Amino acid sequence: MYMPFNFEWLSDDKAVISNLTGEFSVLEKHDLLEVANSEISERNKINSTSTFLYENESEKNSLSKLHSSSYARRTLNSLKSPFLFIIVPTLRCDHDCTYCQVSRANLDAAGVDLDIGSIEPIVNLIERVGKPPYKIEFQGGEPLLRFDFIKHFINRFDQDHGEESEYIIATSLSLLNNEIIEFSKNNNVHFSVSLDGTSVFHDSQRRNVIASSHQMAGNGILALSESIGIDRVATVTTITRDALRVPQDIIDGHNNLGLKNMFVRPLSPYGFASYKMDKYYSTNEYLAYYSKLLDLLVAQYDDVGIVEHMALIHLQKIFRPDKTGYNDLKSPAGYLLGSLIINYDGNIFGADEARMIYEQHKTKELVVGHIGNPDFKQHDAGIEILSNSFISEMPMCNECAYQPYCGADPLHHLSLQQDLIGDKSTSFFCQIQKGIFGKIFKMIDDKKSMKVFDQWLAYGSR
Amino acid sequence: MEVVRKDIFHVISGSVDPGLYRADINSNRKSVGIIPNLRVNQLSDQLITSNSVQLQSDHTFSDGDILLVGKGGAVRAILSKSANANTLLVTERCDNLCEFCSQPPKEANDDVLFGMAAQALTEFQTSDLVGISGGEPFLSKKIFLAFMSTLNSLGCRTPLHILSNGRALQDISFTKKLADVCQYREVSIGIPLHGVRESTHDSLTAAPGSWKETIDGLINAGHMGFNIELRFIPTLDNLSELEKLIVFVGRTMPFISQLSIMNLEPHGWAKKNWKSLYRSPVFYSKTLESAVKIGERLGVNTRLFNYPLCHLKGEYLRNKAERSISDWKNYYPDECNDCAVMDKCCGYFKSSKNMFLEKPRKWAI
Repeated sequence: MYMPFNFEWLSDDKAVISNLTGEFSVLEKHDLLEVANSEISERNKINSTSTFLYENESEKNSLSKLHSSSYARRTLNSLKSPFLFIIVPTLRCDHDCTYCQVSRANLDAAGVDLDIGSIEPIVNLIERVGKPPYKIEFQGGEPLLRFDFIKHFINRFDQDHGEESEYIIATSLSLLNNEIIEFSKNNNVHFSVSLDGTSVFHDSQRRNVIASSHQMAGNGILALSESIGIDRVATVTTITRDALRVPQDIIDGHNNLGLKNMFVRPLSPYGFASYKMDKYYSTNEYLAYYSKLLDLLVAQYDDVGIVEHMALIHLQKIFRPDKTGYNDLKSPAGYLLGSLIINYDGNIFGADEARMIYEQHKTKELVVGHIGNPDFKQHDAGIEILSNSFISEMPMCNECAYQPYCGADPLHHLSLQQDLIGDKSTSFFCQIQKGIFGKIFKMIDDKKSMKVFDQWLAYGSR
Repeated sequence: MEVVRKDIFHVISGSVDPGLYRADINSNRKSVGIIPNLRVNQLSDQLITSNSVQLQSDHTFSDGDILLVGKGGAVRAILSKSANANTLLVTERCDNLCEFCSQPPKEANDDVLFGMAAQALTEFQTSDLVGISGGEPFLSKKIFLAFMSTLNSLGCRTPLHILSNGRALQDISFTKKLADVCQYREVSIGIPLHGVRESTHDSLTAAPGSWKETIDGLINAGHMGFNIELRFIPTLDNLSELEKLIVFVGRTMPFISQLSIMNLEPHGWAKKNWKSLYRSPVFYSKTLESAVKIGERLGVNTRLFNYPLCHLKGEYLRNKAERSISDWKNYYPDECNDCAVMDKCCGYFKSSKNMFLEKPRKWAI
């Protein structure tokens, strides 16, 4: 007799099954059919699982409690996660990327910058809402256009919290100079840099009038590697149409710069990209690319030793759902529960995507307050977002084998489908996630790939 | 065969009534005053007065140790600064009857042991971890809560590691009271789970319903925030469930801080049932390695207790081994003397002799 479980086909003759505890097993079709018909033979692979089967009422009773306990813990765990503060000192940018999520402004735009005077109230807000260790990320536009602000802020915040703070600057590195490098050396500053491949692919999407964006990013990465160390530099790769054909390119692009980590993601439906999602590529095309990419990375791991973090996050969610927090794969996914954003205009948001949506559609409900007057009253939109983010209760998600590991991403669905839950059968997010999980489970079922995945997991938990 | 630390010595001259005493060797540390001092003289020409004795010259007691003087003049330290680990026996009664029990249960009321333990801990004044063992310490819930209360009100803050079968914790109101009374110190609970199948666990405990209650107890205590060390004792009857158990624990009990896999001690009932229980680790190395690796993936911190290093295959498993045997019952056979990793190895139980000794494998290191 078996506890309730969900299944997804990985291929014509293999399926992955999972239950509320998060335990999974990859079964061949005939084994799955045996289980469905309650005729489990002795050599059925499900016999080697731990939480799917029971022999009598008493075991069923105890297993039910364990399943519920597991689900409860996972749910609660999703409600507490390391808190990220995002500050957007300016929306201006020296790049004009085709897929810009934030709807960047021109270099000479007015009224899209934070005043130095706002630093004090921002520090007060962080101290009120957060607790150490603090993680503060500067985004833009191009944050280095306002290095004055960043420097000022870090010096101010370090006065009281220097020992317990980590700062991240999300930048293209086009404006990196010695002063910034020196400052980063002496403070706990990390960098998050866009790297979309080797120069051809990177430059075709990430346009800068002065010089090759790729060259500036590459030089910047090398300079940082020598001064503050490669461990403090992380890359983000956004895949666009041209790059789909050559999965090896992003591997080479990283390897050439001595980078051992990459983070690959498809376009997101915000900003400039939201207008042309279907012009870029279908989810199937992306998944075919990503699948090849993972195969290459695994095959080349002994030589290039690169860990891909989108896959690693999925692996961590599969194997350690209680110990993993990643804002985009959370259920429940509350507004203001994972991050707080102080926008260039002083508006406060509860998620990064919210400020992107607001930039395009001026969705007032997403604004939580203003730095000039951060009086947090009950935020109805926040409660609505939270209550619409329990995927075990949503159509299609409630039957999906990836449910213990997946998330809701309500703002993604709000942006693309104008609904917090959305119709998962046509959801870009859902198709991508199912594709990634499906590929990863196929690889988990393969000894050689799992060996590399074990090394990635070990790296991720160091 | 010499144990690492002998713990029973005899009185050579002087006399003292049987009972609990605080060893006064060099009057260095201040006594709390709950237990009478026993002056232990070092030199043979010192005056022997009442409540002062001279012991064998090779005794290992330190100033401030808690000594139990028996009727025949034998003196044992039940808490000692020179021990590698200290454990207090608080009862010999238990509601399980495990086939491999190294401390077979007795039925007589022995609540007095709790009183002695409270006095001993308070007088000993240590901030190092002390084990609380039995029998089943939680068998009488009232007494255990009173024991903790007493320690609290006497100002004793010693961290405790309590060994329990976990069944009493199925009572949620007891678990809540326990959490309350334990809040003044670091407390962890070591709970054995013999299998993922009810029949496997219950036949090893010879106590029907014990699996169900232990699972309930683990859930309650886990959710209450207790630090739990889960224990698995491999035997011929449950070894086949080891890998399943790791997944079981990893998926349903993420709150456990450690999983300890414990090699059998040939003492008590384990000795009696040895042939039907003991499996040499040399023959289940693959299973052990596979299980520990699965645990690693799931974030289960697995350690191996009581496994001599030469009985484990490969660096990976050896790095998981602990020096887990209490020094008073720990020894190293002569063959170990020229072993390069002796200082990292737990060695053997002193009861591992003759047919119960699985010899050191010199060629394996």
